[in-house]
Amino acid sequence: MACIIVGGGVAGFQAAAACRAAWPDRAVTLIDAEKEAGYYRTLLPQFIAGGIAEEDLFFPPRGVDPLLTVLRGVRVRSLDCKERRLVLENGETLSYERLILAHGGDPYLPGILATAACGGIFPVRDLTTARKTKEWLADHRNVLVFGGSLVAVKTAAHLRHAGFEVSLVVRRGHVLLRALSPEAAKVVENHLRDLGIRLHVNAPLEDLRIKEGVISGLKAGGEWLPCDTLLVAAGTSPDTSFLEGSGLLTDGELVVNPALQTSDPRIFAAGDVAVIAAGGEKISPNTWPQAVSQGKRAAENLYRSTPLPLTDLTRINAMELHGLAMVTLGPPVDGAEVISYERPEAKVRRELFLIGGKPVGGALIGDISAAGTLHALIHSGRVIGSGEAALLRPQATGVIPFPEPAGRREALILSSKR
Amino acid sequence: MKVIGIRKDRCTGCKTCELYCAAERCSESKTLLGAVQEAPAPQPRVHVEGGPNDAFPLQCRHCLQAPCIDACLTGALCRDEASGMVLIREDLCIGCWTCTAFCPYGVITPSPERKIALKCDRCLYMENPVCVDVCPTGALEVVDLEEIEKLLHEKRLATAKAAAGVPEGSLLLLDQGRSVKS
Amino acid sequence: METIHFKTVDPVSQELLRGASRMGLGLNWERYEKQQPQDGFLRLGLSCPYGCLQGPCRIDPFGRGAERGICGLDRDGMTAALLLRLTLQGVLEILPADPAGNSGEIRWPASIRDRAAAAVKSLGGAPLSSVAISEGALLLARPSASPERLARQALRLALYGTGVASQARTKSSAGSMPCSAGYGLLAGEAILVGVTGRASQSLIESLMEKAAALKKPEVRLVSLGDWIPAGGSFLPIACTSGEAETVLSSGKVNLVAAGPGTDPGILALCAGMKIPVVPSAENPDAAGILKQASDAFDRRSAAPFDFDPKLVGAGRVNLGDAEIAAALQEGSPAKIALLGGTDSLLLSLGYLPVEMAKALRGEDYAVASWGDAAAWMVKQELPVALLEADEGPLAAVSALASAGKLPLLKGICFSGLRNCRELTLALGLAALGMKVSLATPIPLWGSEPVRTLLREELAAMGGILTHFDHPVRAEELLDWFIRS
Repeated sequence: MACIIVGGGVAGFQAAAACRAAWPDRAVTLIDAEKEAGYYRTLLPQFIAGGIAEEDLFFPPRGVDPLLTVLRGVRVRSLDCKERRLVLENGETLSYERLILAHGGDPYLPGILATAACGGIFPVRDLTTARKTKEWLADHRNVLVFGGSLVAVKTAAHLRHAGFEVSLVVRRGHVLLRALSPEAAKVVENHLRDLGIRLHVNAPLEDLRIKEGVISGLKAGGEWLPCDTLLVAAGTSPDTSFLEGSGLLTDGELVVNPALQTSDPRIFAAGDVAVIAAGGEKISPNTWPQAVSQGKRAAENLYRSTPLPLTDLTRINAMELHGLAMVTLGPPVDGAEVISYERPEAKVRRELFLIGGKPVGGALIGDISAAGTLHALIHSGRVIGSGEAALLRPQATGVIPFPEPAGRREALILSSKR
Repeated sequence: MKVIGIRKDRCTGCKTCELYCAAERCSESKTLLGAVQEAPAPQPRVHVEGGPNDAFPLQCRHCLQAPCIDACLTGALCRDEASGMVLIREDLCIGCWTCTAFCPYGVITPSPERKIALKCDRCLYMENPVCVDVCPTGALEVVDLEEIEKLLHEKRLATAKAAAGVPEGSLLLLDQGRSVKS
Repeated sequence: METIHFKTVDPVSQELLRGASRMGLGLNWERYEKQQPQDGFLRLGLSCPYGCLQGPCRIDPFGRGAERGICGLDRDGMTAALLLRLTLQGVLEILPADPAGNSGEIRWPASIRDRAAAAVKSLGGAPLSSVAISEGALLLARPSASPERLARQALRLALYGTGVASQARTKSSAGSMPCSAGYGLLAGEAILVGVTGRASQSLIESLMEKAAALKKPEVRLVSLGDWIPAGGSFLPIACTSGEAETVLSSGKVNLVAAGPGTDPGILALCAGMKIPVVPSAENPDAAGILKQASDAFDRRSAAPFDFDPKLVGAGRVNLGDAEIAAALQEGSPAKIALLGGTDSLLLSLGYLPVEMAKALRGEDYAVASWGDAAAWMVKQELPVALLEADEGPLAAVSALASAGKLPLLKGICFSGLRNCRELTLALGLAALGMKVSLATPIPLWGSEPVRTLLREELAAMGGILTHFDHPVRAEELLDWFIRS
């Protein structure tokens, strides 16, 4: 067997496709733990809320490829790097020439939820659970979404739009803590409230109430919140269980270089499971577009003598929250200068974080024009000019900046260093 | 592969391409005077960019390594094998706007009313793209990339030949194709 | 995109156009096609008409680009200002018609005095005089007035211009004059002198006098689209203004006497075809012109296009109120329709006049026409009343009003606009409480509020100005007449 890809998420599927395209004479086997693989995980919130049909969740079918095998419902028990083989839970072994680990993560369930033995608690992560959730929601209307992640916010918004009673509980700080500044988060939070979502921020989880085997309430931030369903979307933790003892882990993390190569040059990693060490930092973007490009790059690098690094490690994401469009361009950074444009009455906030004049992140809330251009600007690593800073002003068109006289930029700096 | 080429020296920034693109590709009536009366307002898929002296119309470049295709959550953005173009399957687009955040040219536009992203498809099912047809100065043209490659190759060849004939230490003025003694 | 399929309904013209294209002559149609698409901002009224010259600023009609000009003017103000600018220009074009009488307050003909007074009252009551012109000019100096103010001023100016035109008319019009039109006028062996624009009366008359003496070949003076009175009749009209170049391309015309207002395209075509052009403004000597024409005739190409002498229609143009009223009520029709005006390349030439005159006749309307449209109807020998080219519709309204028959008038349609003067007249007629339509779009589509404003202001005066966002189709127009 030539290549094995572990994981049937988007990173795995992209890797398989890219591998077949880049190395057409190598056979590829993709193994996945779920019964179904190859669906758009990002659509699960819509699916749960009934906004999208199940058949629309799956990747468009590819033509028959004799050199591509997909094994579903198969779990890996362990990896033996020396012998270059995987031991499966059913006892079989598969040997490989090259391996891509793209099996993603497990939903993170905080303390008491992980051990709670009752109905009505579901993580938002995989299709199997999503199906059960959807079934459950047919006769349960009072939903509590736990978590401040993108998935949590999306789930809450879609369910609310579908007519459910929705509370969103965020443990720390504000919504989208890892992606937005407090100011930007405020705009999103206001919008969520306008949608009719009861928002509880900075509300650490304290207790659970169970009635007849079903969750009936949750105590967070000192307040009891009644509910009949609890959806957990508090992020994922990389699944490294079968890698224990393989020698690939550093402090429990699967660390790869920017070319997505692990410490074993025959093994690559992509997607949520990978932690990329670049420029003295450890980065795990955990976004869909990153999973796609990592899967692709890992596959392209499989047989290269000098694997090429992935250069764009930005954590870009976009979503539409029923009337509020937003793009996150990268998380807030301590000590960064902030340039922003704000029109709270129109639910618009556009901000960029600069370090040494170079944009490193930002967010566009309510008006996402020029998002792609700003992304390209961040990726280029250049010092921002006043013309480019003008891109922050919302505009339907005009993504190529129109040069402005120097000095105007000062007017854009609304908040000083943080 | 055919693309819409731009003669930058000819663009006057009149935005005719924008108006007629919106009318032809996004309106019910297909005429400009009719389109302006429609709601939601039709959106163009080409935008005139740049400043007073360097205006140019910009639409999807159909990148060979298109970041939007990778970014698309639903596979709505795909490459049409026959034409080589990047197309949006509107039935699959859910309006998540991820592609707009990945297009470095900023030429994918959200249409919040229709909940889909819009981009240029070079008027695939028409004889000629509207913007090319309507440009009053001929600044837009459908060009074959291979033809352009050929032209560039010829130019490189001519330059190389000219450079080879220049005595050492003298200056070659490429535009004139002749050398000047230093 | 809007396109035109048939350039003209006249089969002879189609033949000529084919000939012209074989000779590589572009003519107005080729220029029309090269102009496509025309500036969308201007067509919508969203290109700023103010003269600050920082722009012109343009407003994105779809609301996703520029929403205001540099000064802050929005789309409604811009559109309304353009309407005012066009009307102001229209009034300035009308003024020379009545050089003496335009200083004081307008003296309307008795028959429409009440309507005019009601319209003035509806527009605020200030008496109409030439002050309206300077007021309008001042409003167009800087964009500070509201769209309402601009639109109302446009209506006041239109009313004023219409008043000046009617004043000029009452002084000079009486009786009726014969006319003829058609390609038959170009048939046979003759030296042909084509007249275009507002050629001077004295030149035409001396040319006619001199030409009468010449035989073998005889000399014929024909108009190439304009209605030129000379010696008790109108100069025979070889073609409508839209087809002047088509006719010149036949090579039959030996000389062109060009009055002011001749299109540059005609002059360029003559230069290209080596047809001598005599500008009538230079007061040339008639004998010399005829000599030039005769020389050109001798140099003519061997086989120029030949026309069928049978293709001539004749009629009488009614000038005086009594004649107009009589002509319109011939056969005591229950309904009267006015359909006239200029050729427009936005529509197949002749399409509206010919189709509509027939259709309206079929619906028992008496039809009256003026301008190019009237020439089309004469060519086709349709039984319609003919009106003077410039003031036709105004004369008809005034004549019908004096006869107490205004209720029979179901609508006035302009088949095309030659200049701002005609737009002003159309607006003025609507302000007098008439039902008016324009067959070709006017630049108001960029602003719904301005269109509504205009509609409401006119409705308050009992008038209607219907205009379309496309070149009108005959069935739409028929429907428009019938539904009144």
